[in-house]
Amino acid sequence: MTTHSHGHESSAGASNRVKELVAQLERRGITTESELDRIVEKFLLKATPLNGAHLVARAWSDPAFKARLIADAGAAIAELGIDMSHWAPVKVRAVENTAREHNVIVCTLCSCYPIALLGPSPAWYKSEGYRSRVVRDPRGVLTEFGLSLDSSVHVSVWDSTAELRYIVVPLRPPGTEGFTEEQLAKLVTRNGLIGTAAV
Amino acid sequence: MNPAPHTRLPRYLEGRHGRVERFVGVVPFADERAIGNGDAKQALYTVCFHGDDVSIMADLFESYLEADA
Repeated sequence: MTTHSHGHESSAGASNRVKELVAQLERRGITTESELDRIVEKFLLKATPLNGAHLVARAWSDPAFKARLIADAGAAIAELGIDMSHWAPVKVRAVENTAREHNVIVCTLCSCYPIALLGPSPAWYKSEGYRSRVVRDPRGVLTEFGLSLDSSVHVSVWDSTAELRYIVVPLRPPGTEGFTEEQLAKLVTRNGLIGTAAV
Repeated sequence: MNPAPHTRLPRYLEGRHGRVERFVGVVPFADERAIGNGDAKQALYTVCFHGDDVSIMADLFESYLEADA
C-alpha cells in the first residue's frame, strides 16, 4: 500500500490494480475477463442520460409525479418503468431547482455519480479541479460552465457518497407550455441533471 | 508508513457546524467495511452546512457528528 488516501490515486495506478485483480480472479477460476465485459456492457446499455431526461420531462408535465419524485425518487423511477435492477441497491434522491435555489452535484471524495440515470460520468466530473473547487466557489465554477446565477439565487452543493446518489430536476424552461413529454425530454441535458447547466 | 484510514468524512467539513437535514437510514459503515468488518452498520444523515448564499449538503455517518456545545 502507498500513502495516498482514497480518491487521490492516479488513474494509471488504479487501472494497474484492477488488471492485477482481474488476473488473480481468472487464475483462481472465479471469473473471466470476457464474463466481466458482458456484465459491464449489459450495465452500460441501460445506463443512459435518457433515463434522467425522461424522469425530468415527466416531472415537468405532471406535478403529482414531481412531488413523488422529490419525496421518494426510487419509487418514482420504478413507476416510470426505468429498470434499475442492474444498479440495486443504490438509493437516489432528486433535488429540485426553484426560482430561489439552484442545486449542483459533486463527489469530493471520489466520483460517485448516478450512472444508471445519467450514463458514465464526464471526465470533468471526476477531475480534482471540479471536485475541490465546486464546494469552495460554486458560483465561480458554474460561471465557467456558462451558468451565471442571479445573486438572489441560493446555491446548494450536494457532496454525494456511495450510499445515496443525487439528480437535479431543473426548472422547466419558459415557452415550453404545450410541449409533449418527448419534446421536453429532448431539452434536458446531462449537465442540467448534474446542475452545471440551467436545463 | 500506514496509509490514511478510509473515511467518508470530507476533510473540508471537519470541525464545521452543520444541521441534520434528514435521516437517510442505517447502512453499512464504510470506515469499518474498508478494514474487513462488513457487518458494521451506522446511521447516515444528510447534514446541511449553511453559508450566506451557498449551502453544502453532505451524507455523514453518526460517528462523524458531535452535538453542538
